[in-house]
Amino acid sequence: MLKLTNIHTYYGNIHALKGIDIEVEEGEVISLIGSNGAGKSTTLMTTCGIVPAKKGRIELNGEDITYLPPDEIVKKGICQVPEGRRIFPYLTVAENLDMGAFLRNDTEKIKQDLDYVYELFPILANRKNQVGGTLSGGEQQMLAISRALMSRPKILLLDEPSLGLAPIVVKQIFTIIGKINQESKTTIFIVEQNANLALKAAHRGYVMETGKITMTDTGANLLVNEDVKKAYLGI
Amino acid sequence: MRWINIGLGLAVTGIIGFFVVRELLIDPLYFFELFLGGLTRGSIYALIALGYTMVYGIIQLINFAHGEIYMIGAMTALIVASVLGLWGWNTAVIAILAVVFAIVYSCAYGFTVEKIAYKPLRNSPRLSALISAIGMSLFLQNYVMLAQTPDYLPFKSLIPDFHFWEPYAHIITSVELTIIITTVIVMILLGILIKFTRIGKAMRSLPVMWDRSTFSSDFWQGSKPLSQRFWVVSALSRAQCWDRWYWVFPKAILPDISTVNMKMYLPFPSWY
Ligand SMILES: Nc1ncnc2c1ncn2[C@@H]1O[C@H](COP(=O)(O)OP(=O)(O)O)[C@@H](O)[C@H]1O
Ligand SMILES: [Mg+2]
Repeated sequence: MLKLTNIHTYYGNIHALKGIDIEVEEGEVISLIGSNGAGKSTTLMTTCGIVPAKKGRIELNGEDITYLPPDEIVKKGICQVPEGRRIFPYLTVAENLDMGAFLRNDTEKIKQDLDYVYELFPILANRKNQVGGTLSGGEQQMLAISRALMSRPKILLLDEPSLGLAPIVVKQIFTIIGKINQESKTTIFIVEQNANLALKAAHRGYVMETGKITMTDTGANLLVNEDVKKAYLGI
Repeated sequence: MRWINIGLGLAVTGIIGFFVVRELLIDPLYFFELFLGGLTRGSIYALIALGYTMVYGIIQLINFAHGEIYMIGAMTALIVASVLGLWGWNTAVIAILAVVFAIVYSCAYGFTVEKIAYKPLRNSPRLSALISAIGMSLFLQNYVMLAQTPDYLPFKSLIPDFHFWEPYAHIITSVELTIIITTVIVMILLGILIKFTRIGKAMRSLPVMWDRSTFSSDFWQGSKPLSQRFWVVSALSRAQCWDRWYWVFPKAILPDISTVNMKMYLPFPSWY
C-alpha cells in the first residue's frame, strides 16, 4: 500500500535518511523503532511531504507521491499524528476536530466520523467545549489521534504516541490504536522508542539506526531477537 | 518610582477629567458632539487595529503596510467617485460602487503584498519579514505619490443627509451615524467569522503552526488560510472608505494612522 524505496533526506547538509526501504501492506500495524535521533520522525516527515526526499520514491497504492505537497498527500489518505501532539491549544476540542476535517466537504460523513471518534474516546465528548491547551497529556494525545482520524486517513502515521504519558494511559491508547486498526481497517504506522509496546502491538516491525533500516521482521520475532533485546528492550 | 507613576497618572487623569466635566456642565450638547465625533473616529481606528491584530496574531509580524493598504482603498474610492461623479451618476450608486471597488482593490493589494513580501519569508528569521514589511510600506507610499500625487486631495462626502435623521443631525451627522453603524455591523460579522466558520477556526489555529522548532504540521494545507486571512483583513480595513473626513493625503495621513494604530494595538484584547 505504502512503499518507500531508497529514500534519502537531508536537513541542509545533514544526511538524515540514508536510503530507506519500507513497505506497508493494507490493514497492517507496522512499528518503526530506534533510538533518539535515528531518523524515525524524519521518515514520517518525508512520507508526508513536509521534508521532501532528495532521492528515492514513495508510492501510495502504486501512485508516486514523493514530491506532492503535504495537503495533497493528506487528501490521498495519509495523515500524521505528530510528535508532541501539536493540537491547537487555543481551539476547543470540537474545533480541533473540525480542523482535522478541513480538507473535506462531505458534511454527513464528517458527522459520522465525529460520532465514531467520540465513541472511541468518550472523554473527548465530555470535554467538547474545553480549550485544547488545558487538556491533560493523555487527553491531548487522544485529541491528536482523533483529529487525524477526522481526515479519514487510509493510513495513520503515529509519531511516539507514548511520549511523556503515564504507563496506564499509554496502554489505553495502544488498545484503542488496535481497535482503530480492526474496526475501520485503517493501516497504522507507529514510530516508537518504547520498543516493547510498539512491537507487541505490531504485525511487523522495522529497526532503525542513524538513518538506515538495520532489521525487519514480524513484531513477535523482533521481540525475542537478541540484538533488539539488548539495544532496545533493556533486557 | 511607583508612587511617582501613580501620582502622575492621577494628575493627568484629574486635569483631563476636570476639563471634560467642565465642558459637560457648560455645554452638554457640544460635549456630546465631541464625544460622538471621537467615537466615530475611534471606530474607524478600531477596525484598522483589528486588522493589525489579526495579522500579528497569525504570523507574529507587524504588518507595516497595513496603513498603506488602507490608503490604497481610500485612493481607489476617490478615483472611482471622481470619475463616476464626472459622468453625473447618482450619488448613492457612486457611494456603493466606490466601496465595492475599494474593497476589491485593497483585497487584491493585501493578497499580493502577502504573496510577494511575506510568504517567501515564512521560514526566515522574524526580522527579515519585518524589514520586508517596511519595504512594502515605503514602496506603496511612494508608488501612490508618483502615480497619483503627493498633495492633499479633497474627498467629497458621498453620504447624503438623511431626512429622517434631521432632528438629530446637530448632534451627530448622517455620515457619523453611517460610520458607527457600519462599524458595529462589520465587527459583529467579523466576530461571527472568527468564532464560527471554518476559515475563522483555521485562523485561530494558525499561531501554533509557526512554532519554529518544527515544520508545519502535515495535516495543515500549505498556507492557504493565511492568505485568506490577509484577504479578509484587507477588506476589513476598507469597509469604511467613504468617510468624509478622509482627505486622502498619502503624504501626511500614513504616519498619523500608523502611530494611532500602534497605540491602539497594544492594549487591544486578542480575539482568542
Ligand atoms: N529540523 C532539523 N534540522 C536539522 N536537523 C534535524 C532536524 N530535525 C531532525 N534533524 C536531525 O536529523 C536526525 C534524525 O532526527 P529525527 O528524525 O527527529 O530522529 P528521531 O525521531 O528518530 O528521534 C537527527 O540527527 C537530528 O539531529
Ligand atoms: Mg522523533
